Amino acid sequence: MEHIVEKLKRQIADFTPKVRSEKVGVVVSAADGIAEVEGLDDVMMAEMVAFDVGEGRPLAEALHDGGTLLGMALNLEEDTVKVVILGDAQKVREGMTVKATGNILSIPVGKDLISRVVDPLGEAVDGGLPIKGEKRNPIERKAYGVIERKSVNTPLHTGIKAIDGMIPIGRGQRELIIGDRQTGKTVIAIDTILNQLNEPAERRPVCIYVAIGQKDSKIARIVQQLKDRGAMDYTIVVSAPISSSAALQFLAPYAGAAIGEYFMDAGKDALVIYDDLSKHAVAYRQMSLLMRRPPGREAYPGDIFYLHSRLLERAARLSDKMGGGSLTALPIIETQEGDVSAYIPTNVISITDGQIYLESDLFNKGIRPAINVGISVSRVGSSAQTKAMKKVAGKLRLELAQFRELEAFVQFSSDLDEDTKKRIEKGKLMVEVLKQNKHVPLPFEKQVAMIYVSGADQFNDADKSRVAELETKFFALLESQYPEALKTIAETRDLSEETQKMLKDAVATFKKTNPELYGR
Amino acid sequence: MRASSYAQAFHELTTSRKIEEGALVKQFVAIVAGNGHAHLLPKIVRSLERTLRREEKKETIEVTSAKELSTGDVTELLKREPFKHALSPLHKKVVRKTDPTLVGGTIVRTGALRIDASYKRSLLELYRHVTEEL
Repeated sequence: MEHIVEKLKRQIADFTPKVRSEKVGVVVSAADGIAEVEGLDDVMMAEMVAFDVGEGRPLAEALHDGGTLLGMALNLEEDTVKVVILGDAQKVREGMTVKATGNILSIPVGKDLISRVVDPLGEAVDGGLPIKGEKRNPIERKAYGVIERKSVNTPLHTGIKAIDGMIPIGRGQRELIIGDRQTGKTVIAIDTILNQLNEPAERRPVCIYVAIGQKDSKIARIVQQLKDRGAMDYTIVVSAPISSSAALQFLAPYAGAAIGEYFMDAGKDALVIYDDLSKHAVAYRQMSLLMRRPPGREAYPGDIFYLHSRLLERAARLSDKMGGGSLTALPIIETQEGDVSAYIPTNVISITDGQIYLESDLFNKGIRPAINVGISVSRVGSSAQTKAMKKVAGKLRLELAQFRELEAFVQFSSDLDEDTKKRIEKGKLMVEVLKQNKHVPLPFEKQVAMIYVSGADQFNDADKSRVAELETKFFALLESQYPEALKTIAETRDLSEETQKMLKDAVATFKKTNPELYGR
Repeated sequence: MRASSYAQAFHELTTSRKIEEGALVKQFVAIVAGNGHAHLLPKIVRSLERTLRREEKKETIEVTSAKELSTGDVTELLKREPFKHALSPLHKKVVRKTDPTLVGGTIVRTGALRIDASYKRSLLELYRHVTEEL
């Protein structure tokens, strides 16, 4: 107690109030979270302005509110400025003084944000201590240019066999996750975060999950899942729930990018998930219409493409000269009735380096993750795959595509040759192998082992209805009797002849000990 | 053509006093109509009102204090730092206001410039400083 009193005394004694000349304006109208301000002649685009909510109110009340409410200048018009209110818009009154801060909207960034839940202004919303941050990063920043970047060549494992095998994601890449509601889009994002636990600490990226326009209950559930699995130790959640203003929902992904850039600039890897950009576009449309910007297609404003392109361009893999850090972006888009040709989905598809397309039909058939391999693609390709994965999954995509074609053909023909029958059986097996339960991401070495033995015809005679059980038991056997095989793959990131032989031996042992899992 | 351009031209002609006001209004309306911009007249009036309001603010210096100040007190105050920089030859009117919530000190405001030397502001800053440190 004495210590606190002493500290307070010192702070009060050291405090020198500064009298400053300020440029101020006056609110001429305020409605729907937008204030029209007259007099801020020198204000910049996206500059932070402060509403003097304490004006004319007793000191005690002003202290209770903190005295100011922030806004962001967005429409610079001939005589007035339209400001988006970032907070409780009910407090803004006509005639209220507005002060230009001279700063572009920024948020505190730093290591102390890790394992915290913050709002898009960097304020803690998890009930913990206020966030100070090591510095402030502007919410809007120009993306790095060509010279500062290098090509994406390091994988970012999601822990999902179908993705890491066929649609590899590299560090610094932008890969879209797209699909209808309830097809498992968020699950892929969360599994990717959870899977980073399987990475060695020095290679583990800092994960930033940006929740835009989600229900508070969903965000709370995700945070709890991450906490329970120990993933919050390297994760930051930026929360702009559906109950927050459109302005905060609009800012949330930029805040996430600003936080991610801090780690990228420090030479580290970061992963940012924007869940989801459809709701982000809707929030921006709401703001734009309220600011009387002319509506375009689907009533979105004309700059909706730029809204997402300037955000996603901030994902990058920096050159060694720039520290070699990376920011990987996984934007999520929700489609309506599988329509990928709608305005926002086509925009984001064209901006990103590939997409993971999830289908309701596959989901309902029990194929989970419900990835449509045919139209899912990663434009970075195998350059973001380890040697081991390249070796085992090289033909997987083609085989599955052939299987899908043959499967459709078989529906009209009963008399099949041996080769076709084999291909169909193999395809069925691979579909089963690629199925995976949610929140069970697999370490890279186990994925390689499983895809290798299945692809090398080692499990062709397995009971296809029990592949999940077979996989669990096979991994148990590998861990207990052949740990060297997994260790070698993890360390060398390659699949040598010797390891391949070890895996085949493991299958032979497995067949002997688990005969019940074989036979069609 | 923008309504604000018409308003600015009209305002400058009025202040120059080269043309008699009645004649100026008639000529102005005729020119605007002749240019096919008669529909802009309501906007021109609003723009002119805004310009006049801005001009008035620039010419007025508003002094707000916690306790009522006399004219002499205000004159003295405006000669002192930091308020003396706010004064300019443009100022024609001084408005005195009282706001007891300021606790003490003064706020001087002219046009878009505000100099806040109130105790309330200092106390708010101190509060933020102390709470951020803690």
